[in-house]
Amino acid sequence: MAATELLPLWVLVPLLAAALAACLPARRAGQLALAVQLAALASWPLLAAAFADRGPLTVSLAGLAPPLAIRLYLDGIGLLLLGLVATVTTAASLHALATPGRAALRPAFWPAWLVLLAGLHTVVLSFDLFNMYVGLELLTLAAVALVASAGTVAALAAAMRYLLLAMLGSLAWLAGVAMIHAGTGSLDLELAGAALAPGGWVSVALALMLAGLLLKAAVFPLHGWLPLAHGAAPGAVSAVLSALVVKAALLLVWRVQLWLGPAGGADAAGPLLAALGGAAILWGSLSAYRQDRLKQVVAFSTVAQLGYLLLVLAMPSAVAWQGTTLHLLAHGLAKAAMFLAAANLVRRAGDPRLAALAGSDAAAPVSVFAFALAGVSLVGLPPSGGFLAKWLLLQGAWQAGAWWLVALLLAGSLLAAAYLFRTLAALLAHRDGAGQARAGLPVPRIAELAALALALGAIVLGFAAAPILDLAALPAGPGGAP
Amino acid sequence: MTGWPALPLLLVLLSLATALAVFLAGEARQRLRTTLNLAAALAKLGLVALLLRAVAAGETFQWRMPLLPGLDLVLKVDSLTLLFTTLSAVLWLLTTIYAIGYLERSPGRARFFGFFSLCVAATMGIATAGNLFTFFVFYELLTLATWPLVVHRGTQASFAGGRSYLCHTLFGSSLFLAGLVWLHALVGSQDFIAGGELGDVLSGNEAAQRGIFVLLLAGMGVKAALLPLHGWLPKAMVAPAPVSALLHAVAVVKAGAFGIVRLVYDVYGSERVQALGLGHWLAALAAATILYGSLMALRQADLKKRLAWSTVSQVSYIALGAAIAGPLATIGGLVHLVHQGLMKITLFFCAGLYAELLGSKRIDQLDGVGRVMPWTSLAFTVTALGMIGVPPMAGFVSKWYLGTGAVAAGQSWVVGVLVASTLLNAAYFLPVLGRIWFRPPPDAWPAPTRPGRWARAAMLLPALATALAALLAGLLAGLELSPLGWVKLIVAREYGG
Amino acid sequence: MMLLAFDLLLAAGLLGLAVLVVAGPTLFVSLVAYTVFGLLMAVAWARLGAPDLALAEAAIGAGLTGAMLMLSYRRLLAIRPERTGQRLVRRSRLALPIALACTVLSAGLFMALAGLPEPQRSAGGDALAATAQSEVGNPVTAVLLLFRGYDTLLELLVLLVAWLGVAMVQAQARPSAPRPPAPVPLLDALLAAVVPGTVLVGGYLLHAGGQAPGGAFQAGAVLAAAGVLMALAGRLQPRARATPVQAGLLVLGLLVFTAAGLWPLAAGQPLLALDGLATVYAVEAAMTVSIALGLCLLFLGAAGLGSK
Repeated sequence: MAATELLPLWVLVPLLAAALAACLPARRAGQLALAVQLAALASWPLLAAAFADRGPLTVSLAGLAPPLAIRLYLDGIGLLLLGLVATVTTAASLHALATPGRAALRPAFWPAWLVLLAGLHTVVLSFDLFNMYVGLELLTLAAVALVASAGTVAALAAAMRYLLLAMLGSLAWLAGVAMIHAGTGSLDLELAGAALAPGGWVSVALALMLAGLLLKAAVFPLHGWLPLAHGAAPGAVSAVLSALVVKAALLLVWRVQLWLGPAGGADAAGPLLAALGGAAILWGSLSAYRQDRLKQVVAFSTVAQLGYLLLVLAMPSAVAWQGTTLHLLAHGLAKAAMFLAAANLVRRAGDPRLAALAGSDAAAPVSVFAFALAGVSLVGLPPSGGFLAKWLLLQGAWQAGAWWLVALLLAGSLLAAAYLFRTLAALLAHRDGAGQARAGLPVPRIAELAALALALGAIVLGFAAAPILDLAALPAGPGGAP
Repeated sequence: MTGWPALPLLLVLLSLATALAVFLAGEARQRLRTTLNLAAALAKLGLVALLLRAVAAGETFQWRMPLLPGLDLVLKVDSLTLLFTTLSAVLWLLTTIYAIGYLERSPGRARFFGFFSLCVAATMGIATAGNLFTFFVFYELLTLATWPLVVHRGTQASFAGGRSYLCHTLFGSSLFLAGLVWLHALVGSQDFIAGGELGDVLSGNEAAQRGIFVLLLAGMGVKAALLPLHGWLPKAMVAPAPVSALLHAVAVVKAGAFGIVRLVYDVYGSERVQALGLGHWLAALAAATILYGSLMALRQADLKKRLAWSTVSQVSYIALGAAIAGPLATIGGLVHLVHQGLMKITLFFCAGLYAELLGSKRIDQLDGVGRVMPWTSLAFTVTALGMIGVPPMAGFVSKWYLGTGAVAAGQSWVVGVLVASTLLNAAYFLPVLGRIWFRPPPDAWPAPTRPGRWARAAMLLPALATALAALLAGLLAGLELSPLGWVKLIVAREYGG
Repeated sequence: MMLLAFDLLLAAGLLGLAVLVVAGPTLFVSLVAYTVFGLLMAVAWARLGAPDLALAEAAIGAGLTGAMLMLSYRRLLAIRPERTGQRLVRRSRLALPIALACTVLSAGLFMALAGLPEPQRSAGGDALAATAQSEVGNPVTAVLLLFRGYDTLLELLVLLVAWLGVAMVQAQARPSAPRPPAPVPLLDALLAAVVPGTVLVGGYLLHAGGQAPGGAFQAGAVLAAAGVLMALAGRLQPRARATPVQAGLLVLGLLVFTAAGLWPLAAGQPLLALDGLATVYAVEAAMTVSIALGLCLLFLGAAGLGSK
């Protein structure tokens, strides 16, 4: 029985906890959330051991067989993503618990947080098209609620925009799913993929599904909502949104491409998606360079870095998949660390603008250090997980003979360095009027350490990548051998 | 025989630990920080002395850590490593003492010394790197560690200088990475092996060999300030004097030059470089840099800028030595690594002293300082003469070997370049010396200060020490203990000649 | 022939109402058209042979949404009266490109749907076969609870998180209670007759859902309508926080369903394998309560309820 049968518990436990948290006062709900996340962190090694023993895990719910029943599926990338979710959400909730702004004190905050966790687990584990839809809805609504928790007008406006655009994305996804179901008689990813034959309607359905996912994953040019939402949300929420929620949508892009793509013209879609990814890298980095608020810089950096995750679709080799997986993990850790550190810095200075953050290295040195370390991984400077990811992607691009990808990867790093060092220069600049008291609030130790721990994780990934990558071979698809 | 493998790692970790300790100690605990810095520097020196004895007796050390299948971090200690390591260790100690005096009243000293130690850790990593990948890792780390030092003052000019530095180095490192990826895609990881193996492994693919060489050279050439990638060096003079001293003598430029040496001798092999026809190009590029740097130095009115252009010119001697076939030129180039380091750091120490004590930053403000600061000016004079190449100073020794090596390889035009460079050096150093000693001092100095006695001594003694070392390196060049003696050992051992 | 004419009228009506929604002269006309659109949509579902969907559309899509739009309209009248005199969609430069894009999309969808193949083995066929072997007679309920209960469970969670979103923006939204009309005997009589009747209808739908069209969602929507009626009449007021009892009722459906799903694990059965009609009815009853309360609170835009 063990791990495979208990796979659904990864969703059911946060679900129950969310229900309970809705009845508890805010502080107790927060502690419940932390307990659930620590339990997830503690259970992950067991799951990893089961995966190492038996390979990809599959379970059909209610004891029935597909296409009637829903299947859950865990492959290498899913396993690593679950580990990332557990780590980042734990650190972010420690940050939120330690820094009680208005947001975390609202009674609805922690239940929404637990729903977000349940939604993440749902999407990572799902192997059924409609189940993916429900998971995406959970993520969207929970994320909207959490963005709105900041309470400012900007946050509410950003949340509204996010909601409307995400609903549009969901609609597109659902339309595509409905067509696939009508044409193949199944909602199961594997069975539908096997039953698909190339045809015009398949391309339309897949295009709709991918369009919906790209909207939810904020891929250029459908990224407009992300900088507003992630910039206005509270620090811990931005961390989780940038590091995890958009990744869930990208995971589905990969799944669709791998399982449904071969029949539906993946050969054309792959390079197109990679081109969009490249455009995202360039546009996002250039926009990040021109921002004058710290959190906006980090948010646009997310738009840029998400582009890297699509490049593999133009060069699907084992090495490129390894690089992409490593980038997924390294960026998740580094971006979450950056947002947490940015929240600390803004809190300390009392002003979100870059110009007002001068002298932060004296006022909040640990947060600046965490920010810098996370930046090192983001830019892909050694030694960090981001560097190894860039190395593997470069190897993959070189082997595939895709020179434009090589140039893109190198240019992307240079642009990232540009906005990182511009930000660091603003943080290290001398503060005028050093004697004046600062307008901000003190930053709790735990909040700083949470950011630092995640940043160190991104760096340590640069040394511990080999065993982690052993777990993630090429994601299995029909006819796609690792 | 192989010694304890962790010794190379220890070299790097020592400075890394110091950096961490300095950051954690905080701004306030000055005495703790000074003790930490000096203790670490002395420990490093002791470690290096231990290694010198072991390697002279024929031991080798290697430490390996796999990062990915086919990609290893390798640290090793061979005789070439120790050339760079000894220079770094000795100069680190002296620069630390100097910096303690120089920054006596500046803010942000914890940050400064922390990144200082990190810089040395990166330099140690570069010196002990056992393959191109490890070299690249520490090369990038050096960029990261030196940028906060360059922008330490926190002013607009500092950040502009830092921006230029970053633009150049990161662009260069992109090219380096491209070359490295190419190499790995073709042959996988390549350890540094004396005599170079790349020619054998990649035989037949000359285009790839040339392409990879050019890319890697571009990457290293940025830090080594080869034309046309030298633009950042004069702009980086906005940094405080200890930083300029470190950058020019020990860390950044030497790392670039060291990389070129490793590339030519331990990756490709000197014969292969000549066979590919790359030796001519490199020699031409180096010669052009030598002349251009000297010409630009003539036009500078600011002392530190003039010294910066002088560095651009002088460091290319090392590349020139690598580009010319034959052991003599190799000896000349390698030994100039040490000699130029000793001389240039002295010059920067003195420039810092002039700026700090008298406020004299420009050359026309140096009239008659010989009377007011005699010891400083003596050190300056001795090393300036060495830079010109007056025998029996260290600079002369390097130029002699380079010249004879060029003639032995049939590249007599190099001698012309050397002569021209010597004349130009004289042209931009002698007037300065003339002003220092033979002009009457002005009525009022631009910005005179009176630092404490300890601070003053802390700044003066290192300058005198390095000046003396430069003098002795030249005078006692025949001894085995001198830098020249060690270089001869390297060349004999590694390159059979 | 008659059916074809009916279908054409229905389609024309839907399209015409859609145009009226977008291009209606005033906001009010658009809203009314939208509500009627929902009703016609319900008829369309019924015509397509999906009575459960028709019930849900009528209750939620036309009924609750229509009432919510009217309530919002009244609020808009109070704070931004000039907006109510304008059209729903104001003139914009993007109108033409968006219209073209929608046309292309519709054409593409049309052609794609026309080219859909008929699959040999479909999940729907499997569901019908499996329903015949279970105790539940309504295939929709069987699919929702027995075969794909995981999705239904998560959809309950979606309802919960929607309520959480509303609760989160409480402080800014500051919903004002619908102003009750002056005491009118007719209203009291209406409530006295309609509300118990609605409760009965809801209970019937719940009971009938096991064997015929109906079920927890439909019953919950109808009960929510009763709650909305009471709220509009001023008998129920929105509150900024939910009482513990209300919170408990909101999550009751989730808790009971999860418990019912975990219970088989103890007996060595697979997860979420509900057995027995009694379990199904118990879960549905709990779901009905939660859905009803949830929808009512969403309608009011409030976190909790209280009496006058």
